[in-house]
Amino acid sequence: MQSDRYDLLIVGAGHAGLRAAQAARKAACGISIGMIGAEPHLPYQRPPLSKGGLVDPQQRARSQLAPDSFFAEQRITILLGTPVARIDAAARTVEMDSGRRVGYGQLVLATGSRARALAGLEGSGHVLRTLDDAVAVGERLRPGKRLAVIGGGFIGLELAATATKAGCDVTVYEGAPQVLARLLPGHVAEPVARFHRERGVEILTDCRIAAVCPDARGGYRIESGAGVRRHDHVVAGIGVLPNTGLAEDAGLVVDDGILVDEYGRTSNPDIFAAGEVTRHPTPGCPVPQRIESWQVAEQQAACAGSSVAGVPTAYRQVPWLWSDQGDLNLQILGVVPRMAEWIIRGALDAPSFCAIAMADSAPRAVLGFNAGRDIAALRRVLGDELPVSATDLADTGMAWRAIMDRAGKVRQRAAES
Amino acid sequence: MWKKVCSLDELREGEPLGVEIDAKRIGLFLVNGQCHAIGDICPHEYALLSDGYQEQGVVECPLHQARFEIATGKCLGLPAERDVPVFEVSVEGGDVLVKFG
Repeated sequence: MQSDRYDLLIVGAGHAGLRAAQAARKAACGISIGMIGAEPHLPYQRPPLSKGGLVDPQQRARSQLAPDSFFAEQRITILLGTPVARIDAAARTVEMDSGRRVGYGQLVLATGSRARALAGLEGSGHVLRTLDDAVAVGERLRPGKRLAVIGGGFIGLELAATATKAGCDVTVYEGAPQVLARLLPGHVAEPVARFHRERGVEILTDCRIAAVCPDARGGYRIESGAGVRRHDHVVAGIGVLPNTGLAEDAGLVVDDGILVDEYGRTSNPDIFAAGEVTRHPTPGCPVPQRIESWQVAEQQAACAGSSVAGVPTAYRQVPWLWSDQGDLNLQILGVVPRMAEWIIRGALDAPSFCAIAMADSAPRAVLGFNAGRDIAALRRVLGDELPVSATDLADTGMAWRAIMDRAGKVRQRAAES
Repeated sequence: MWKKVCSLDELREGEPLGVEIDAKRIGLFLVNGQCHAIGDICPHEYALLSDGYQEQGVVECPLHQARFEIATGKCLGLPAERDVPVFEVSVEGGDVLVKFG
């Protein structure tokens, strides 16, 4: 780094760090901005890494978010491959693993998350999170290879779809009685499992892993509820953990994520946080949420970057994420309530449907199964808290415009009375 | 060269129509009664914009919410970063014609 002090220093050079830097530069032309990243790569986005980018180096290269020339043009100093060891909030300095210190006027923490590793499988290529992970996993997806995927969540199912397309024999081990168990009830998740099974993925549910051990032939032996099986490779998709260590050491309020307000402010006025390491206020939710999504890295981070640089910008988006699993496009809107009544718009055995989680007679969350147009309409319904009725939502004969018009009239009558 | 792509009465405001002509995918939209034709494939990842959500003069890609101005093809929001092509349209006797090449 050319300087030892920056007006704005961003720890984390991923998607969120970049968007924070870009927004800060736009908000404040004159300040000095530095970024420090632990990984050796320029900021990249993750969605391609579990799909085309896993098997195709060209698609992987396109995951880079800004060209090499961007940083000099925008006068943003970026230091890569440099983990930060600690933050001294009182002295306003960060110290790197090398012992070198860099001062800041204001700090943004965009440290993201790390993949949970499966006990005994900590080496490279056993999780799918970073660009390097994608290279390591991708190299192993050769036709005929037997791949075990531990965990039937989004990342596991995306990987299962990509690997199956690449000619691998894929088994998904899931401890719960269904896939996507963290989000969806069984009957709503079933069409997702069916989609994968029809394409040759073996999904073992209610199947707990007892042990995973390397075998003599360079593969792995998995002992589970399904007996003992051999696979050529094992990848775990069992969730992520927010990288909050630096924030905790710096004395920030941390509770499963760095707690921030809608401007990205932490409990220390000099420090903001951006991206999925945050727990931030969320429309429709009584408590702040930590949400692992492209949207948060893209939009919450931009709000935090703009706010830290002097242009307060609130993040108030309805949570939205997508998961492309082969040719299947899943989208989730909102935060799924603990207790919900699910209504189906369309049919669970149709190529496309929406499942809508109702609580207190209002829609709170939606799963779109190949249903992008419905998701777009429902984003407006959830964002405006339109008083739509469950009956209308379940009636595919009613177009979205009609549903929204009727809800608008209901709201107007309620306001008048 | 002008080619008929559909009849005007197949189009509804907010209900775009996707057609394939000579291996070209075209999305047809009605905006305030005016007919528009744009390249139907989102430049981000493969999806048909005619499957997307239209709100006034803007269509939103069904896959990842990239937004495009229908009259100009201009990309208005990430994750797409490129515009889509626009085609000249003419309505003659209830037929919608699009100019190719």
